[in-house]
Amino acid sequence: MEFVVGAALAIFSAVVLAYPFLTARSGVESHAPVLDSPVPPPELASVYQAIRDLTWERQAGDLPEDLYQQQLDAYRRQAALLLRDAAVYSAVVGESDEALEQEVATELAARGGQTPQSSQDTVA
Amino acid sequence: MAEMGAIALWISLALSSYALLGSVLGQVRHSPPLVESARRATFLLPLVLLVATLSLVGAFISRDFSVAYVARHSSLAMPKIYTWVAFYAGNEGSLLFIAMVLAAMAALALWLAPAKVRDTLPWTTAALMLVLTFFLAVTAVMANPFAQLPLVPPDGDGINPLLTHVGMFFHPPALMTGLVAIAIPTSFAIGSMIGGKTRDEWADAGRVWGLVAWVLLACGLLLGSWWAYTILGWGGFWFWDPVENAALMPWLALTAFIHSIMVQKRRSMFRMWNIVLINVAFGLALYGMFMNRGGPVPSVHSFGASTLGWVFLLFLGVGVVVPFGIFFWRFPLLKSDRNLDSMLSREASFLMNNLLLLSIAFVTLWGTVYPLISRLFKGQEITVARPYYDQVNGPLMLALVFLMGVGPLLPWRRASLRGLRERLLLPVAASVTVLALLAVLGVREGYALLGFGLCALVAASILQECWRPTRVRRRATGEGYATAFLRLAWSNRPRYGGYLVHLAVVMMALGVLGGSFFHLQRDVLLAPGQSTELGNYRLLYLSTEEVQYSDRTEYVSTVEVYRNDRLLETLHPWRVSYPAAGMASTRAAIRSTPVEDLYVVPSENQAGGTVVMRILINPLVWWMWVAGPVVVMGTLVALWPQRQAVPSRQPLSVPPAAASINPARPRDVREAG
Amino acid sequence: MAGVLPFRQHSFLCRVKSPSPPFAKGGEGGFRHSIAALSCLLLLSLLALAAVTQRPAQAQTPHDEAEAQAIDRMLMCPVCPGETIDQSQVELARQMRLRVREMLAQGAGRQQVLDFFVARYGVEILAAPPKSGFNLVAWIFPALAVPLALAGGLLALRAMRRRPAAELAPVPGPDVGLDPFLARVDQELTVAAPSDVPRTGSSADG
Repeated sequence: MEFVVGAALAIFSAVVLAYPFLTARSGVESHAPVLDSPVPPPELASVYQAIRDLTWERQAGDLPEDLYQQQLDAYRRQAALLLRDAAVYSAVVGESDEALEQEVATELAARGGQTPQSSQDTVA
Repeated sequence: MAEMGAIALWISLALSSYALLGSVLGQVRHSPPLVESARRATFLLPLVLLVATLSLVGAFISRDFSVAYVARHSSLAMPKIYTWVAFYAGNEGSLLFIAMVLAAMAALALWLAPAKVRDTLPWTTAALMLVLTFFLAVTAVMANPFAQLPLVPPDGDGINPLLTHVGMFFHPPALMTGLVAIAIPTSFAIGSMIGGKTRDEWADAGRVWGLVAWVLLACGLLLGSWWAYTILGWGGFWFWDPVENAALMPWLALTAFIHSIMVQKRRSMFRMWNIVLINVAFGLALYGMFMNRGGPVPSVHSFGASTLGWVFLLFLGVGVVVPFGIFFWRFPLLKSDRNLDSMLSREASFLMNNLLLLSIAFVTLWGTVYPLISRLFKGQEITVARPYYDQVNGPLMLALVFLMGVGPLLPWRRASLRGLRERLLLPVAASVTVLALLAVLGVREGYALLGFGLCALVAASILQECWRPTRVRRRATGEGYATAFLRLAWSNRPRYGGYLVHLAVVMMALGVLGGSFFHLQRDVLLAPGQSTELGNYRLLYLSTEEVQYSDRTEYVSTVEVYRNDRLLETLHPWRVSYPAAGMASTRAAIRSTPVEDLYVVPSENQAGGTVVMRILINPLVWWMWVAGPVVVMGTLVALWPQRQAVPSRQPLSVPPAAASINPARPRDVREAG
Repeated sequence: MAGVLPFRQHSFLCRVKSPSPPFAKGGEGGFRHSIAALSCLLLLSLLALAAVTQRPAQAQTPHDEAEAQAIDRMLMCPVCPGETIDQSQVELARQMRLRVREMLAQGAGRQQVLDFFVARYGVEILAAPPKSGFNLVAWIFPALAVPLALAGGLLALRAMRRRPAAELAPVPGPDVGLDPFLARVDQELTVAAPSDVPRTGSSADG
């Protein structure tokens, strides 16, 4: 009796483990990484949080107005740059249209002589 | 029952090995089905281990003494309620318990993992499964709780009488769970390092699970102290026992971590430092398990002593070397983006708090290993016990309390000059007032005065930090004081949860100071009808009732407590002797009030009802135990999920004006903020 | 009123000073100094008070129970792992406690009592290693390592501070295209926390 329960447990486990392979083979579900999802960069949340902190600290009377305004602008600007980065990145990577990619790249090169770097490259 | 448990144990070992190899291979060979299959194995594991756990519980309940572990840790006379305690009374059961909770928490952590860490999750899985595989392998191969006896004994050996205490229902599981839970934030850190996502992706998951482990350890330590206080019969609650230290050290490192990770979350700083901290905490947790499961230093926790020592020592080595190896490999990626704005900022005070906490941890570690060093180099046996730790850690702890009073007054980034002076005014005034008051009242203990002064500093600074923003908010919004405060606190839960915990720490400090410096103690021999005095109390010893059980004799004494000739309470401290086990255990009777505890415990029963009593007055110790629930509450507040400050998931369209814009180079972007 | 605990010694109190607060070594301006001075003043005044209020050594005849209990806590019970004779309830510990009191009643000092037990049971009978000979290592390590660690932390903080801090400096270069994104930032912040809307005053600068 106990061995039967044990065997059932083992078989059940094996089935659960094998399931992803079966579905992958029959092509039911694709596990290919989704590259083009324009997820906002993770830094953005921390910048937003920093802005909320800043606001909170000002409300609490911790910050003089000028220091608050100065830092708020710096954070907003940082957030905007991150958003723009992500937008340009998704435009570059997401579109398979080579023409667009080319267009952006030349534009970038013309603007600042810089290579197009996505926010994800910052990892390295 | 036992066979099913054994089978389930082996299946779970296979599953965790599979999950480990599968997630590594799947990641290396870019095989999504393999990764997915390994992920499912982690979700199967708690289920299978639950079967193993339940079958051991079943063996205990059905008194199946053919199972060696059941025979060793229970008996027919044992009340069934103690099955839960007997389950982890020895190595085999506690290892199974550890594996079970680790599997459950790992599955939960992987399931709840935020989207940010999804890319590196297979590596996190691998790290977690490596730890789990170790525990399962040791359980299955070396300490199998389902091992059977060739001859079935008619009765078991019974449970260790010291374990039959309410505290034991929660203290060991909380500590074991807390220690092993440190593997989770560590695995998130390791995963993000191997996967190369070394920005702040792991900070959220790391903080949440760090806090979970932290609060579990805190509860475990407090419950252990409470257990020692009520059952060990000497009137204290903490004596720097090697095994107590082994649980305290990772908790200290975690305390540093949960502070420092806030800096990373908020300011993207201290990236390397946080990884160092969590690795240190993990190493210390492994050291704690090593001490507990087969440690070389004698301690009161000799319940679990065994030959498993060397295996745990080996794993301790691996657990320290591998994470730090990965850390140094990824070192170049871990640079922080931001600079420190000012030495006078919350960031800086957090770093100092971290260093102090680590100092306490390492000094304690030094104390626990020093006897080995002395044995090795001088061949001399040396004991390092409470007086050493009191002398060495006492000042560090006071410094920590000081920082706890000043740190929260410092804002992030940079303190404004006038602001800080204004804010220090009230706490310092409160502190000096308390000092003066105590000195006038006749307190002459220098150390204690300092401690109480610092407690006042912390309490006043916390109250001020609640009051000041409330007033500002009230003025701005016109809300009532209560509403304004609650809304304020709720909108900044990590901070106010932290304050609540700080208040609890002050309470504990009061208990420690009162118990260490102002206790009164007396050992007296009392015949029935005799009375004795201690402090303002007069204790009248009436009688001792002797109750025989099959396995034990209980001596229940009756003591009347008078103050100013008025009967306050009748206490019943008792003592149990287990002739078979050659053990005795005591249960103190404690009249506990916020001002002081009156603690009565019989330490010896002689013929004719004469009894040796130890009587103590322990001022303020009540606060110590009240602090426990406050710690839990504060942690819950801090952990309560914060409504994410955006960023919305709406697609990032490229406005026409921006598509053709030079994206600033990431380096610049980060420096811009 | 209280037991004379071993850690109430003078040398120990003095070491409270060593962990100086992070801002004690500030570099700029009188403010930092005043804060440092304020906190030092607090600590020092507490220390002074502590030193002044030290209780004088108590008379030891016939025998001082508090002193006896303090000695109990400095001696390990030889037969019970990890417990002092104050904690332990075995017969040997009881006899040792009696011996402590006898010796005190005969006029012996704390050190003499401890020496007696060390001679009998070896140095491991002491709950803390003696502060002499090789065992000084046990005491010196924390006394050196902790200040070193704190000093290291201060140096690390100073290094973090020295690196050029560009955070608040206006970023040069064109940012015409940033405005739509800035608008979105403001919008998202508004959506997230209506009560905490930051004032976006000088947004022209970007």
